[in-house]
Amino acid sequence: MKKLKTQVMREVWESPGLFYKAPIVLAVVVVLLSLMSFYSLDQSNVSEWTLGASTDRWRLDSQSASSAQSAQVVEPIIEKIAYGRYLIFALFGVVCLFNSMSYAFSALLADRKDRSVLFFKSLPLSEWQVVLVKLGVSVFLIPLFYWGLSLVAVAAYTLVADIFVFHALGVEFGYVVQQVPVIKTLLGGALGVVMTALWALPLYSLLLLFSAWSKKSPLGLLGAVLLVIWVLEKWFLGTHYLGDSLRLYFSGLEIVGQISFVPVNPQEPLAHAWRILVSPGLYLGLIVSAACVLLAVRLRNRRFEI
Amino acid sequence: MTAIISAQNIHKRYGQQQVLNNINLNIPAGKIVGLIGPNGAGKTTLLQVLLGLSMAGGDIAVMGRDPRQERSTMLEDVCFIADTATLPRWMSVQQVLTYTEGIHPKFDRKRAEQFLAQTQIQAQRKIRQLSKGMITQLHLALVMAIDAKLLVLDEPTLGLDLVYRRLFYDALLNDFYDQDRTIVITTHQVEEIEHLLTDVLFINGGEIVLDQTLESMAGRFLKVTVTPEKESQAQAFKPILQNRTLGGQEYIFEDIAAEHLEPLGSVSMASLAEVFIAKVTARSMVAEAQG
Repeated sequence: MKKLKTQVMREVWESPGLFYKAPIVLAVVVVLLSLMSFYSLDQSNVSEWTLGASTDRWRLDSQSASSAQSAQVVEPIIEKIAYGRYLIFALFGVVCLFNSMSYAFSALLADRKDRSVLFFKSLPLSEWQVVLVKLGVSVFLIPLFYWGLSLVAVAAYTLVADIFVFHALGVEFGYVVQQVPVIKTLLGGALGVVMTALWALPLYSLLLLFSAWSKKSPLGLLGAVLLVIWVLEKWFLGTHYLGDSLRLYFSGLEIVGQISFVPVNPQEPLAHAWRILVSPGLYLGLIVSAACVLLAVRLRNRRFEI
Repeated sequence: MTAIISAQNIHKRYGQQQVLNNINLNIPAGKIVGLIGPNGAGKTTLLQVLLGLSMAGGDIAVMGRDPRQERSTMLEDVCFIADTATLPRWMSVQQVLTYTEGIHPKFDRKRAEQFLAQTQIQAQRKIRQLSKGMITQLHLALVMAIDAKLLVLDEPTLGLDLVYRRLFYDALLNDFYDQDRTIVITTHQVEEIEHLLTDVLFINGGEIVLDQTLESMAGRFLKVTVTPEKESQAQAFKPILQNRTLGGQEYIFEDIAAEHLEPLGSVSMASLAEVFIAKVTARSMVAEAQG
């Protein structure tokens, strides 16, 4: 356990930008943008928000109307603020996907390039441990970091929104925060991280395999291999299994991506998760993942020098 | 004595090229063995095979374990430096200590820190900010702090200046070596390690051409400077190497008693470098004659 923990720490030390610097910067940007946009809305009486109404009118409405009427005014705003939350989650998701894929592509190549592989191989750590930690980091740990920081960013955004609504519309302080389905957001997000990790295992295992195989550009090599398979399949068999499989796989990725967003209907995350769990593609993917890991370990054991 | 490294018939080929051919080794504890050979002789490949970093045929046991099957367990008792430029440059000194402490069960961090305290190396600095000499000291500090029974060094001082090369070997001898520990060093800079070694293995063309203790080599290889009129007598003893010098010809003889050679000229012990050249050249000449 100590070895695995140390190995994970090593990964974080090696790529601090991917792990926490990028999401921290993103969180800071999100918070700053929220502050700027809500502040400018609050300051400008004539500014038209995406609701198509001026904040000045809402303030007047909310001051003169009954609580039922003011709730009617505030509800669409709360909904818009919720979409802002989903947008933040989506933004973190996209950056996370890009960075975790970059990590996987270079994970088993960087130490061979700078020859530090010889130092790491001089220590009592098996290649199984090395490859599995890197796989775990790319499918689970990096997304976990991003999810954690996206929650912080969303919390800050919600607080800023609450202050705005309180100040601009005179709605009681804490109203926006109370509208956030905290438990459902947390559970949906956690479920999303786990399900995405499961579905992404074959993809990231494949990236790691190409990282262990390639001497220069894993992405180029992967592209070339896919192209050759596609061309050969089309010419000699006249089939489209590769394209169809990829399409199916990425449609599954889209489904697991939706689990993290606790949308209007809170039952949906569980329904999406169930669809994934009963899908044969998940288990086929796990077999592909095991094969890729096995090959990557074999390559690391036998051909590590560039 | 228990063999630290025991290997029979190690063989390996890359395509058509036989890189290791029927290599047999038996290295007991407490030895400092020089694995010496010219570039491309198979030194690094042999070490990699012994460390489980490269696959080969034959029976191999290092510390009683087959490195091909139990590499990570074996490495708990074996230290290995490929060359000192392999420490990850993105790590800080602190991180490399923490990492080694977390991975190696026999690493004594305090000992490494004591060693580093005698140097100019600061814990917060990144390895890429250190000079090559400092990186060597850091790597040595790591090695010294590991309670390993076998230390394997593959061209450890490559690219280092004379001062750091000297420091490296002094530290190795004074702070690491004892009668229970074994060191295997590969190099092609024979003169540099001659004074350290207890045993020597010459490798050339993937074969061991000499496996000898330094002690037994002393009487076995003799050097004689022969004047021109005695050259034909010297040739009769079949020298393994001859060099033209200012005073005449210099010959290296193998397994010829000193009393037979004394009439030819002044007899002295051949240096390790001279024996190495003789052995390597002899093999090349044989190969040339055969082919």
